[in-house]
Amino acid sequence: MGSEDGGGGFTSASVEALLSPFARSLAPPTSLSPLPFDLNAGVPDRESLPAAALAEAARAALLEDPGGALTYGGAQGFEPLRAWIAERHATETGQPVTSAEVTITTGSAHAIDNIAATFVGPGDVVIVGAPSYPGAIRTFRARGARLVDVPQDDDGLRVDALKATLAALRTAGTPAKLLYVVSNYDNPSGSTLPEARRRALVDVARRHRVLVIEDDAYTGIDLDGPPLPSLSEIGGGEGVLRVGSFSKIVATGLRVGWIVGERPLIDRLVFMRFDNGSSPFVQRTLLHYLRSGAHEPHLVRLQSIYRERRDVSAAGLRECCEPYVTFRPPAGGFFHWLRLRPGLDAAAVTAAAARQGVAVTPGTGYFANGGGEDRVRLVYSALPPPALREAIARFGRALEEVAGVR
Amino acid sequence: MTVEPASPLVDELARLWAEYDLDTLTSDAAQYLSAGTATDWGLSAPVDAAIPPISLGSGIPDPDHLPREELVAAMQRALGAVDDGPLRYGGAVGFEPLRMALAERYTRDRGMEVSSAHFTLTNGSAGAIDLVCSAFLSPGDVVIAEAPTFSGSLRTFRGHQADVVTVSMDHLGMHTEDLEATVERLKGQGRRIKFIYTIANFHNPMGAAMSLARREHLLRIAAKHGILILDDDAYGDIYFGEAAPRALSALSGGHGVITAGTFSKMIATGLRVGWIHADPAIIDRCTRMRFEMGNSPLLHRMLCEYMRDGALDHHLERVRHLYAEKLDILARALREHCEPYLSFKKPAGGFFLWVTLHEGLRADVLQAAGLEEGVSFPLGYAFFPNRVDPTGEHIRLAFSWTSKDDLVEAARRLGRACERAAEQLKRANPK
Ligand SMILES: Cc1ncc(COP(=O)(O)O)c(C=O)c1O
Ligand SMILES: Cc1ncc(COP(=O)(O)O)c(C=O)c1O
Repeated sequence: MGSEDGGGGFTSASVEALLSPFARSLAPPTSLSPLPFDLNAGVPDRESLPAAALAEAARAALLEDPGGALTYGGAQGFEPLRAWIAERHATETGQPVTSAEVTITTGSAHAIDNIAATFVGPGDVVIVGAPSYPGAIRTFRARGARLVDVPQDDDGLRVDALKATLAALRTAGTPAKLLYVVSNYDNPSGSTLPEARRRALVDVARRHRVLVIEDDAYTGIDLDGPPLPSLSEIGGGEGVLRVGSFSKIVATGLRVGWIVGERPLIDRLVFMRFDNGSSPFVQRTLLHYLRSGAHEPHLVRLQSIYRERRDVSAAGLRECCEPYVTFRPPAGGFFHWLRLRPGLDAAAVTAAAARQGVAVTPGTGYFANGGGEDRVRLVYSALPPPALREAIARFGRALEEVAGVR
Repeated sequence: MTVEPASPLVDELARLWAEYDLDTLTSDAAQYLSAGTATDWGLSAPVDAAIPPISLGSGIPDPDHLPREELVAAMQRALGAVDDGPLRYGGAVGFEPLRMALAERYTRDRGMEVSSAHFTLTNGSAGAIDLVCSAFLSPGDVVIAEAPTFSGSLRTFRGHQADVVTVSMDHLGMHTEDLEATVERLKGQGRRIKFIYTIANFHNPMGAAMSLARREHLLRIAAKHGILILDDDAYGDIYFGEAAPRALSALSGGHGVITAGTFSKMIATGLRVGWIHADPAIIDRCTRMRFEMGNSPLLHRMLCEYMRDGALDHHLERVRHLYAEKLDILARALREHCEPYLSFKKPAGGFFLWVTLHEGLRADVLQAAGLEEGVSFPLGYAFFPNRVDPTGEHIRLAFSWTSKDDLVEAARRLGRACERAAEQLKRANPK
């Protein structure tokens, strides 16, 4: 029953004709790399995954209240888990939020999707960084957003440029609706917005009535001390939807993320859930785990694992790659964002690295409207130090090859 | 690191935001929707009543027959795997061995040769339907649905800004003559019909299984006009005697039929694992519209482990008997306590009894009387797009979740509620 057998069924072309315009414009999501040294996928370290503690938590969740764990839990998510997130948010930000101001999603990628579905219509202007997390670019684009980018430097989004962009958009009669920003340990740039920029960003967003989406997917992977005040905190809880995830601090396979924001916004987000909510079984398992006492030491352990990897990889890059790349090591998260020496091209470097058995990501995939030919993203989180050293030595050889030294 | 309380900036911003209207930010689709009701989410509506009512509202499995020990064991096996797969991103289409296991079931039970490429895993069948809508609907497109139909799906179609046009049905399923006329009328108006949504097997709320003749007619009409069929098959495996007639996807050789399936009714709604079954070209288009990086591979692996040793078949055997018995108990008790006020046709599968009211009884009046007596259920017209039930007065009684004793007691209370409502009617209209 193939689709191309001409038997009156749907061929690729006839399916294409039925698609909505957004579905038609999209390519399938890319898959993970098969190369031996994967500096490509932004995922946690394998060994660190708390499988045993989660197995115990899953058991507890199922046996404690099987009816609850195995029955629809509602679109907004399991209340005690929302309360846990609200409490942590309150501790971190000093804002007393309640579980009503939290909604649970199937990962933070889904949180962005939920926000896009709720707030973005065709032609709406969404501001993203240049560079920006490609999953967010893809998601906003699918809802018909017009993506306008604002440049980043080593300190993250340039708020002076943001101001000018917002003013120009308003003058042009197409004011921006949303601003998407990763203020801590950005993917891919690794940058962290300094506090002054945070304040200025919140201020200008307010003046232009732009809703800020603060993606905090990497918060918790704090390698140089606690994070700066979040945009949500600076905004006094208003005008900012703070998105987070348990992917990077527990496991990506859980698929649990969250959004904290003002009640009317959260209500609208919940309205736009058509999937009968994320798995209550997984949410209850996660909460058992978070309350077990295993989480805090786990986080400390993760920080020390990733701190070592960041430092090992930074030293390796300086030693083996320095003349060809410059970078500023990030204060947290999983990524080095390398600037290539003029004359080196990201596509050529990525191809040469692949020949050395190393997967890295060319910068070009991170720009909504072009750019990144002189950038490469390198993940340091997934490989243990010896493999990381070897991968970076090989990457250095790839750079030499492209530079014509070898 | 806390913000200074009430800085001048915050004051100023609070003023700016005070005059701002959330609706200017909300997308067109979101503006058009309400929160949805408990019925849309498959739950009983919360009620404020003197006697805690027995609910006949929940279309969910019996809580005392959930295979929890088996699931715990399956979870231990999944998490004890040598690889870290259960805790890593599992990809957008879902765990291949589970899709393979589904393909094997479809091949075995439905007599169709399919592979894992014909499946993608979703957040329940509600998630499957949402994804199909994302891939195929543009604002203003028409979705044809049965009347009545599952209200949660109506909400999803609206959320995608489709126009829902209904076709009537009876205990043999969708009236395909009516469908044909409707399609031709809409085509004549230049409307673009994207799919025909049907619950061909043990319909929610009607309980009907579409007849073979109507299935074939439906397939011909859809193919002739290039309209996809979306078969919401949440209940196909819950049959009491014979299985429903051959699945639409099997009858069509896969052409033009998208099936939404789920473990919700077979095992448990809290798993949130469902799937889309369709031609790989359609699966591919659906995958393009996924932005959530897939569902939990942990759940997929747990289910795969659970299914590996035949536990699902064994469980299904048990629950088919259980629900058949519960249906008998409820039907007998209704005949005993509620005649002549209502009648029904016993379904051959699924979770619902669709009840027609007589003697001039109105569903909303009966619902209120039911709450006084301590029994709750959704009104028939919740299952029609405009909340108007053109075919008479109906209520939907779910027999899956409620215990056997409570089913009998609920029927007794419903009987008293019928008397009460009839009394009111007499007082309101003295001849
Ligand atoms: C910035 C950012 N946001 C969101 C996500 C999505 O993560 P998840 O859906 O697993 O929470 C990622 C994952 O790579 C990311 O880098
Ligand atoms: C006909 C029908 N389709 C879909 C669903 C949603 O089920 P799931 O839990 O698989 O999302 C239901 C649940 O009530 C249903 O009755």
